[in-house]
Amino acid sequence: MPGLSTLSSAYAAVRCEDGICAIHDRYVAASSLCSAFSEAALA
Amino acid sequence: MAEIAQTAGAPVLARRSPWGELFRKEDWWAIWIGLGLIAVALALFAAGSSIKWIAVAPQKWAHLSDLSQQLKLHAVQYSALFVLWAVAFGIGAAALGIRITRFLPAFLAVYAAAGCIYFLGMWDQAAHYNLEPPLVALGLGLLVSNTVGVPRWLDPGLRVEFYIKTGIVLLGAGLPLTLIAWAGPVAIVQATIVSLATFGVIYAVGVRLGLDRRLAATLGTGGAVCGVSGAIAVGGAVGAKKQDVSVAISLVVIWAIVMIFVLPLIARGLSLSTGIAGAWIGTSEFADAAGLAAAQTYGGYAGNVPGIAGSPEAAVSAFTLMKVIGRDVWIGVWAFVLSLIATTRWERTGVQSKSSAAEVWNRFPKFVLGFLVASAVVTLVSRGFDYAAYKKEVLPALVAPLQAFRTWAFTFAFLSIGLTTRIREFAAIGARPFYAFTIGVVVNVILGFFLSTQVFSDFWNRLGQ
Repeated sequence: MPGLSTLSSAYAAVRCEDGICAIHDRYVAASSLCSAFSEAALA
Repeated sequence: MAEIAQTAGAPVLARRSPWGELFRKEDWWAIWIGLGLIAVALALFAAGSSIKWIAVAPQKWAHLSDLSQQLKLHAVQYSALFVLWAVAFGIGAAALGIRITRFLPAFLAVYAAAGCIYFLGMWDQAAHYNLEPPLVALGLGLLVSNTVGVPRWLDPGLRVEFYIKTGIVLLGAGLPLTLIAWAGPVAIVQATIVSLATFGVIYAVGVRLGLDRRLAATLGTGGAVCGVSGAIAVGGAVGAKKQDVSVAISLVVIWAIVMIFVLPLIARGLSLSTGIAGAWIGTSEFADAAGLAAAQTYGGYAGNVPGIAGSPEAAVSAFTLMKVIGRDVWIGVWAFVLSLIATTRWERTGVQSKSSAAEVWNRFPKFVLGFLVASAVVTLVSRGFDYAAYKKEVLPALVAPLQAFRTWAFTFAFLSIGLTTRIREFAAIGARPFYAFTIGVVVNVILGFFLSTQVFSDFWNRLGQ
């Protein structure tokens, strides 16, 4: 993610287990749910 | 950063053991390293000895011959200090997934460069030429990273937050718990006023300009609470677009770096005391590392620049109370409240965020616990000494060496800020986010100045004495 390495906050506790949703191109918490992925997977 | 895919009705990642986090997160490693050094220092102090031999630091010098003599005399100590840092940070880096064979050469370069900058700062003409170590470290780093570039092998050693958090834990050893209890509530009140105002302005202007609410909230928290950490915490909690989080990070970093130079310059022009300037920087800077660079720079003016009252330590102490206690610790609350609003009030996205009060702890910046424990332990140890005995025994044998460790850790961080700030890698910002954030910056700086210099000025001045 551009700029994120500058202050190296990606390793901080505040980030929890957040990551990038490759389907929606969103930055999301690990507890998030995504119905679109399920539909794509079942199709 | 890991790319994660998600499944319907199930959390993205299986929940890991909470104990595993104690060795997986940088915050915890900063605690282990900081408290580990304090524990060794305390053990030696209790045995009638001191850790000061290895906590070596450059002394004032006037001529190159003095400098060379210092280096010759203390060469073994500087080598031992490198080994100590390399082992401590190396173990932490390895636990965080960095190969030790990649970390060590990079850290050797960081240590050597930080040592040169530290020595330069102790030149008796350094203040005359504005060669304050934090500014030199930052300026040099920015120049190198944005011109010739930083070789990739250096990247593993450039860990801004790892170094700064370790330094903040060590800083706790020099701040009595009674002082934190006395000043903490005032810091919280001042910081809360400014945080709410700054967030409100950025969010309202952003929405008014047509920005997505999630972007406006991410920008607002980045400006109001704790910089990049705030932006990514809230960005993740509300499910912001990846690109929007990048925009917020870029804006925060650019303004944080501008403020490192601007805030001490204005404070110096107005001859603010170190306590007041530290409180203002703590209210109006965005990132811990950037703010500590500004506060340490300003603390260095005390005794060197005519008209600046207060002790050098007061700038860093006031900054830390304001930023860490007043702002950083509330990030989990911001993330929880905003995720609640996002899930109940804002338009839905393809991803369904879940709001949980557990966010408050999950996103809590854990290194603050190390800072408080360090303060409590050293306060407890010092309790049996009167002021004269404290100055004669505890300060030189216990507190001063820990302050030397802290200064080293901060210098590693300041150098790393500059060397990792590659402007060409920033996301394209766009005019509307820029205007929203910048208006918030203006409000933040003015309000923070007013509260620090008018409303709570007596309080912050007393801290400096």
